[in-house]
Amino acid sequence: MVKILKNIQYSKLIITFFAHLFVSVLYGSFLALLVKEEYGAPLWLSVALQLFIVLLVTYVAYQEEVKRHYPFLKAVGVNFLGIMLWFGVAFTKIYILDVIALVMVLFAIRYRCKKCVEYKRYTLG
Amino acid sequence: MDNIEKKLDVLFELGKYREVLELAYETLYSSKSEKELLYQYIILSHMNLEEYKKALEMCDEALGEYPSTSAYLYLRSKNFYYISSYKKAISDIEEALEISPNEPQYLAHFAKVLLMQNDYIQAKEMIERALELDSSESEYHLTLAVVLSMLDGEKVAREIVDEVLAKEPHNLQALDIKQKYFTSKLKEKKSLLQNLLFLDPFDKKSQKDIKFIKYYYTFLPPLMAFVLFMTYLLQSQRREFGFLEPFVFVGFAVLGTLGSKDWRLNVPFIATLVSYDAYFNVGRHGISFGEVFYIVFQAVLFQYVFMGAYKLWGGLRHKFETRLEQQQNNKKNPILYFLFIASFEKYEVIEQEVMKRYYITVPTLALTSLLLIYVNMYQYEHLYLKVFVVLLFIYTGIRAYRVFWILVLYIFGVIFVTNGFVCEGCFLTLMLSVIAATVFVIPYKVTRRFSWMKD
Repeated sequence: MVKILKNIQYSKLIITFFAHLFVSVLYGSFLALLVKEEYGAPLWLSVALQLFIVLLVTYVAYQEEVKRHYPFLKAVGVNFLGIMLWFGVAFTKIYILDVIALVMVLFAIRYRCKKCVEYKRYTLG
Repeated sequence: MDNIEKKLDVLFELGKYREVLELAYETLYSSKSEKELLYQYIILSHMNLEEYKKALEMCDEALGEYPSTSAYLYLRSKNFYYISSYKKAISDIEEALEISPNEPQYLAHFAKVLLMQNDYIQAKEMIERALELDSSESEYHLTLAVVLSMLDGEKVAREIVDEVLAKEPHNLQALDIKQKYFTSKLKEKKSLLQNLLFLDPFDKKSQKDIKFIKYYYTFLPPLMAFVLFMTYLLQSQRREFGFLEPFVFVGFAVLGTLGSKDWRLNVPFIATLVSYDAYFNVGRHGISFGEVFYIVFQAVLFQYVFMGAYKLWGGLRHKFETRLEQQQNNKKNPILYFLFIASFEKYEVIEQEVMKRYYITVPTLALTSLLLIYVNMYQYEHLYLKVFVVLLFIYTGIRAYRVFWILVLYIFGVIFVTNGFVCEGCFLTLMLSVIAATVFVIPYKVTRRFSWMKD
């Protein structure tokens, strides 16, 4: 446990958290509201769902960031895609499609562009 | 000819470049024998004597005679690199690589030039190709470390430097990189500098930096204690010592700026600032507890303003380099010397472009902070001013490119909404802050010039 905590790159985690906060809060709060209003879920569940989505997005992005270079434009792209998909879902009025939109955003975070180069090491021979 | 070659080799190894030049020029223009090697000795000697223009002339001459020799193209590219003509350096090294594509030295040099051109992705590709061909050269590993650190892979970069140092504890380049880029603690930096100095006792830069660290810890804590004592006097006997207020304020600003190099020195400082505000504003004027949070935030904000000012100071110091040299040589006034030398390494790290950013950011930020205090503490009604302050914050956030500003934007947005003045424009401003924060979250990218590569 201590080893895991030691290995966390906190500055990177904070950057990742804030870089995806907009999109994670957007989907988190909307889906939380959806389960509360439409399906009558209790408050604690909706709050937990919101937290879970925020943490999930941050976790996926962090995993990507520690292994590879995460270009700034990708962060912008992910957020932009999130907003656009959210608007798309709002336009169709089938709000449960937000789940699919969230999955698409997660895949967008995992998308490896040409600039997303891996942090590779070579042994000093 | 063989005899001359051996002589040149020995002289070159001994570092007697002038003599190498004399002999090589003499042989070059007097005999009609093989000139290829002589040209190389001449060019390399000129390069070691930092006579890059002469070296370039000789490269041109050599290329006139041996146009298909990639070594001269490589050397010319190196010379262009040293005189900061990166585009010419790139075209030459590309040509050299066309002739001999599997030369790790060329690839590593190409990576360095690309690094200076901020093309980190291609630089990584090149240095990886070099490492695949020859992984025994520690210089290539170090270049990869620098490239990776530029691509936000600091952890891996640090591991590479540590690995090089584990195998070669006296590697000057690795020690230099580690103390410059991967060590934030001054004590650790000092020990690395001492190692560097041990290997090269005449290294003026290391001597200077060690001296700075010594002065830093000698002068700063007593000066801080003095200012804190002045604050105590101001608090306890306000009538008699009321005149100290501006001095205390200036003292806080100056010492906070200098102290921001080592955050531990600033902990008691921030604590005092917070308690001072809490005591006067919360205790005496009955300001709510919510405001205390704001005061803490303000203290941290000031810390960052100081840090920005510190960097600005570093840039200014670079401009007055010659004057500083004189000041250091005189050593008559240790406090002044200490103040001048306080920003010892910053000018090397911060490039012109970044400096420009700080010239704009720091004053804007100072103005924003003042306005923020004014708006939040005294004038609750001025909505337009609040919006202006938020816009200024967004602007500084964009300029500064640091995660801290994103945090500031969020905190500011939260304060805006929770601090009791929920209004029509607040949601909009909060949204603006959030969008700006999301859009402008850029991992801190400083386009650095690496002086160590030119050594």
